[in-house]
Amino acid sequence: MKKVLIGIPVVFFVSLFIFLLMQMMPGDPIRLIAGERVTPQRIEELRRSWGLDQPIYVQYFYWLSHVMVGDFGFSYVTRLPVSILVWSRLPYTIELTLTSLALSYVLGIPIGVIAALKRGTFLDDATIGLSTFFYSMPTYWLGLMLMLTFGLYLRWFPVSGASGFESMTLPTLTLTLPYVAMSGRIVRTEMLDVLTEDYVRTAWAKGLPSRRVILRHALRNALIPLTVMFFLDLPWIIGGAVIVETVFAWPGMGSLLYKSVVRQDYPVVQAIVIIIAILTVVCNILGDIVSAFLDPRIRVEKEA
Amino acid sequence: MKAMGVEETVPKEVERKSMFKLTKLKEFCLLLLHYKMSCIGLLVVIGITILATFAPIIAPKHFAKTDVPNKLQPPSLTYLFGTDVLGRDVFSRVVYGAQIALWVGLIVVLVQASIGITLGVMAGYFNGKLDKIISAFADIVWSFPPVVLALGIVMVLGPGITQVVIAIALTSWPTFTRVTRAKVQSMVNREFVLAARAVGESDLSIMLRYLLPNITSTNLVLATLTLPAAIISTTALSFLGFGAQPPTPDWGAMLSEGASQLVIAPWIATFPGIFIVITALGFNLLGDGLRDLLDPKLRV
Amino acid sequence: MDAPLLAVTNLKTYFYLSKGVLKAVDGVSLTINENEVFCLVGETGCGKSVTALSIMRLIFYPGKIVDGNILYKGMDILKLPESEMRKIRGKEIAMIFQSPMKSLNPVFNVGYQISEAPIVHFGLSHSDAWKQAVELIEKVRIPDPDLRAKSYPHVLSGGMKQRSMIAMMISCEPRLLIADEPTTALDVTVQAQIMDLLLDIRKKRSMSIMLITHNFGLVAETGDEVAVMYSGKVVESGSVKDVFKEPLHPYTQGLLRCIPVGFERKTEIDYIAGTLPSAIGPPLGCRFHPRCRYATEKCRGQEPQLISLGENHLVACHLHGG
Repeated sequence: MKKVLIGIPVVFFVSLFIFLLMQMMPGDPIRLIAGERVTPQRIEELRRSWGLDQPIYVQYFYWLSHVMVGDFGFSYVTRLPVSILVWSRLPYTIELTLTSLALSYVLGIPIGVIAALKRGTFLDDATIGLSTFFYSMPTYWLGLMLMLTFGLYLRWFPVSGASGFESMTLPTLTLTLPYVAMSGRIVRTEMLDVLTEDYVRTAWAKGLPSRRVILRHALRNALIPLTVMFFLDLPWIIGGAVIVETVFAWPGMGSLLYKSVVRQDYPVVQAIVIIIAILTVVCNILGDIVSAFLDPRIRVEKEA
Repeated sequence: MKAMGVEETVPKEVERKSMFKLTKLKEFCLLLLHYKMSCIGLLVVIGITILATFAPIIAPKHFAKTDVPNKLQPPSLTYLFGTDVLGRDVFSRVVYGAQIALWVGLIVVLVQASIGITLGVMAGYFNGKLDKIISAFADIVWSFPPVVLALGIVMVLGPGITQVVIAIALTSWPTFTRVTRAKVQSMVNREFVLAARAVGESDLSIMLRYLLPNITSTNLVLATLTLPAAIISTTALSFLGFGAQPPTPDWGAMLSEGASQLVIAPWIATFPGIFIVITALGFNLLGDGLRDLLDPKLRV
Repeated sequence: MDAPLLAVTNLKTYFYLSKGVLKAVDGVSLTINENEVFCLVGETGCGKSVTALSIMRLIFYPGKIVDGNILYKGMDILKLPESEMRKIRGKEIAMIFQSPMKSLNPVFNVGYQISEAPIVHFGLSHSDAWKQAVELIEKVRIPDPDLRAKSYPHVLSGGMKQRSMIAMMISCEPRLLIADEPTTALDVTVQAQIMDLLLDIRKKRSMSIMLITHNFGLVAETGDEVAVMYSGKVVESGSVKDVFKEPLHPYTQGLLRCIPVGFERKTEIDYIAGTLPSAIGPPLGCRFHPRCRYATEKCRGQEPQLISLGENHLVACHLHGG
């Protein structure tokens, strides 16, 4: 609940921040729209039609009210409504990020559990080593290297565009690999912590079979912080997607953001940043809710 | 020295390790071995620092020196890492790049730490409403994708290394806040703080004299671990074209060049990247070791 | 007297640390009979808990049971494969731990945790097991058993948590219940209640209890047999009556002397000088000799063996010919 209350002003704050940032932009957007050879009259007309002759707070209010209903205005560059632009790209980004996240956890959790169980062996050290290795690697470089090896030399996968399942492989791999390493490491740490807890010892003392103790008693507890992390990492993965989409020319929101920043297409940038801000706040809140759901102790705290 | 129990068979390696006669020397060597990864990290960090400091001496050519007739050459004896589009020596540029990387990383971390620690100390010390606001704010900023926010900021401020530094520093300070707050909270109720308060010391004085020294080691570990992330983030922005401007030999910028020449001259993209990985790895390993040594419960 | 329920012979459990080998249990032998309260006493760190955990074979990395036999009903459980041992844990031999606060899984309710063991060991259905759990909660004197069964551990008081643990561990009617300092972490009034409960259960189910404690008062009140441990070894054992009336080992004597008796005013309380030796490098010879007022040359050089003086009274001390 707390988060929602803080969240809403934050979103407003961010929107205001962005709006003001846009205003401080060097260059006159009208000139961008109008082009080179245009009469001063035409410029004035355009300015009026875009509402840019009004005082700032009016403009802000005007803009905000539009945003609330999902109307983000028009792109400076392409003249298309921003909402359509963004909407058409959203599914691609979602596809990429959700697949990567899901894969990372599906692979990461078993790896982490096994590493924790086989603590001190080669497998365990390898997990830590690989995770540190991938954590030290910039995403874009990984993307480029994967592109180089698998795309260009071995010619196994296409390197750009969204032409179906195969073309998604390299971008997904780029996003997933470091994340698998990280989540595996975190699962391992959590599991190691939980496995030394007294209640796990109680479970062993009851004579319960290994699988039950490890999966039901230990993992269930270890996964609580992990699930919360999942929600908090979602925005982070989208950030990574920006780079990956750009590198692999994947037609998602990320590459749109990049292109728009380069072209100084402010409405689009505004829109995407706002969307991501809202998403972040929502994810935070969801994370809180989920943690309360999974951990009875937190539930009581909230009621108290 | 204490004699260990005698065992005829030496079955497992773990048992073998414990059977050592623990002289001081052996204990030290064991410690070193245990931390061998971090020692490697330390060596790497020292290596890169040397590279950066003595770049003008180590690099055979100046980073901006062009040699257009020899452009896009694969690695050779004269050009160890090959040449780029303008015939510049990639190796030299990589070496000079170390300077930029380390400097930028350092400044980013300093800014982050300053903001983060200050807020963290305030949140932990004053508790109540201030704490809640700062914590919630930190949580949200932390989960906001840094790339996106940085892009936004850079867009406004224009491209350039300083702008990039500001952008990245403003997005990753929450880690410092979170950690510092936790530490401060654990100390605030202890006797020496209560005693200082009872004597009438001002809050600021307490914070500076008692709390700050105690959070130093933890924050040092955190700084070591955040530096590589800072380097990666700043090079990411350069990669996207918003950071260093040509002809600055920023590793990220070189990768961007390399991306466009990937098919015909893959070495331009490969080598700077390798160096980024090595540098980041070095700091990460060092940081891990420091963490084990100073504050094992730390979690990023 | 028929065959003992549990016979431990020369148990050795070591922990392999980077500092060296920690010999937590270094040659412990003891016998527990049916329907008996056996007390294992000693200072903190002397190896009592590790002995108990070894009996349950709950020693994990970096520990290892290095030597010895543990005969339960004549069967050496150290030699059993893990799958067989699992059938013994919880069902034949059960154990309750010292701090109930952390020994209950926070994400499952109490009823579920109590019904788990019968479901696994006896194949009871969920509903039957739940019913039994509620009955058990009542038996351990927790009010409102139906409601409590659905509660989560963190809402329970320390005493209730410990009772829940007891309910959990007796759910399969074990023959031996090991209680590792069951009352140490609880309030004094609750302590008495818990001990009362344990003894009651024992009587009703003719179960043996291995009580691990450092509280001699408890031993005097509740114990039938006792073994005194020091630095990983048993230094004296026998019936409570014998050992208390005639303590043979200087350590036991010292311990008993520490307890003020009755209302006599003392100007100082007796204590045993020195501290427990490190288990990584224990003193040569008799481990107690640095603190023993009767120590001789022989004590410094040679380790005493546990010998029997009179029926069932064992002691490991050179003074008595060990």
